[in-house]
Amino acid sequence: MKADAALATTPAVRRDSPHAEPAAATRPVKARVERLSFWYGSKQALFDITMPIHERCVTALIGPSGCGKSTFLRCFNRMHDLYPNNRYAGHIWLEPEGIDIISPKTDPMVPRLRIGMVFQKPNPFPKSIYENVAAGLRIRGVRNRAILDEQVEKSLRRAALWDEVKDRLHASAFDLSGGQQQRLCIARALAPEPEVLLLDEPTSALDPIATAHIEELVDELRESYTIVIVTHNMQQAARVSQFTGFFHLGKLIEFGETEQIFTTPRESMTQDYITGRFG
Amino acid sequence: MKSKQDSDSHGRFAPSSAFLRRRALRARLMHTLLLLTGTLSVLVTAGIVYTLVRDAVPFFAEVGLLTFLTDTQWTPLFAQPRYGILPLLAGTLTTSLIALLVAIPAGTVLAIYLSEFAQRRLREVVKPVLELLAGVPTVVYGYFALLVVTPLLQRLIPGLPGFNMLSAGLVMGIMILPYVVSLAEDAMRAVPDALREGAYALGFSRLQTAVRVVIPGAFSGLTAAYLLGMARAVGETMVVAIAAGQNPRLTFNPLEGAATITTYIVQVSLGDAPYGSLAYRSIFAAGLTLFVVTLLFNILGFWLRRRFREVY
Repeated sequence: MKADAALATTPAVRRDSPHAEPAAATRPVKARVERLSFWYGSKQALFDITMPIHERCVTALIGPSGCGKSTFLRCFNRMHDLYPNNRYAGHIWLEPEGIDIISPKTDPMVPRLRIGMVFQKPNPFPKSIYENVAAGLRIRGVRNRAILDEQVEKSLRRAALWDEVKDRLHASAFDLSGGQQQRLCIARALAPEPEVLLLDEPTSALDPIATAHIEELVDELRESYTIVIVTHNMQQAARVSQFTGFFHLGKLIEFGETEQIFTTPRESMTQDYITGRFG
Repeated sequence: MKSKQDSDSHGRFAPSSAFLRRRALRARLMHTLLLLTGTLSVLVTAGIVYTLVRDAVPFFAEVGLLTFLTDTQWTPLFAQPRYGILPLLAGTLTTSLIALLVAIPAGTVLAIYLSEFAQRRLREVVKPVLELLAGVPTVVYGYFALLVVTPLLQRLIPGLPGFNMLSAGLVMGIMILPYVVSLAEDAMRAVPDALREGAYALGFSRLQTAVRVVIPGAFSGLTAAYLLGMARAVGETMVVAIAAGQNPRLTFNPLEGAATITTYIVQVSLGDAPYGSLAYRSIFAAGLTLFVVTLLFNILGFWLRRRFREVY
């Protein structure tokens, strides 16, 4: 029954239709980043970042290599805890309860059970396709075969992979191509129905067709999920996101609605980056 | 003219043909050297098999393969010798099984701890210490079994004979533990961190990550670790010769003493079986049996690894 509770914690009220875009100010906020700084050992990688993550929107993080956008993304599910000597300062408030994700008092399991992540390189588990997708549900205690079957199919369909694998669900995940593996990882992240989905350059290793698949998917998913996507590809950011943050050298230079960032950026540095003058 | 052509047709840093010839020669030399090394190891193996077979064949001609495999007595030094390998085989399998029952679970748990839980500083101390254990001479382990472990066991199990397979097997397990831990830990650490990150991001705990992701990912290396432990146990001589007794007895009861194949070989080679006699030749038949047993386990391991291999 605990598992059912976990599945039921998806955002409750749908306040807006995704197709009728309301003004930014009226969007509910899923997470608030407040004065976040981060250190790898003694090297500071993020400086005093404050920005909102709007609910059921796609927020894109752009910036040149090494600007800290992936580091920033990995704070949301405490991935940095896996390695010694990393240190956070500031807050990331996860709404509606207002849990401080990066507080040392918060068990990292709490955000990880509510926030899913897809990595840059596909990293399927050494298991079958089915078991990869079911893994997140199983560790949340879901045992019921019917629920597992249903959720696996639903997630694979959402990740646009179902038709390609429905006849070989019990084959090894390593038999899939790179693009299929990445969609499998997306299905795996979707299966437990997390509140927030973190995507760390999910298409950087994919060909244009698979990339288009995944961009379409992201667009559909924002109806029910809050998505944060790191991307090197500015067209991608412009295509899929409603909000964009531009990072440079560990600082958030500018944050705003995507359209505004790409048409009338306030900062000259943003302007230079999106027009390709540096980075 | 030639050098002009070289530099003109291949750009500014075109290599001279003499340079290319030297390079080709070096490559061929290296190739031959590697081939020779490879051939040598194959030749040594072939030589060992030949030695075993050469003396085993006349033995089987006299005793008969069927008798060898089915007779339940092994008494080559008696006035009326019997040559049934089963008692020795039972001794070998029983002691090895006990050793593996100790080394595989303990080794796997220790490897999980070192690879997934321990701080790096601790790991850097524990692993070399464990590997130091592997350097202890086996004869020391043998006396440790006979003089320390057996008396301890006798307090727990009244009536336990001084020579017994339990004590020998347990100590053999401790002896092969460092090998199993070391190889199993290497196999687990070779699992990419990307897989662990994927598991943690999905909400796995450390233990769940270790058991559900790292172990399946390291399966092939773990099989190799267990097999090496198995091979060491089957071939181990001193511990069983000292602690399990030298009396061939067809039993799988760990509370009894029994000779193993290796015990018999060492006993007869040290004794006074005349060269070329049947007793002498029986050593080679026993050795060949040991060889076949190890080979079978290797084939099994090879098959398992192919069946469950993971490629990253």
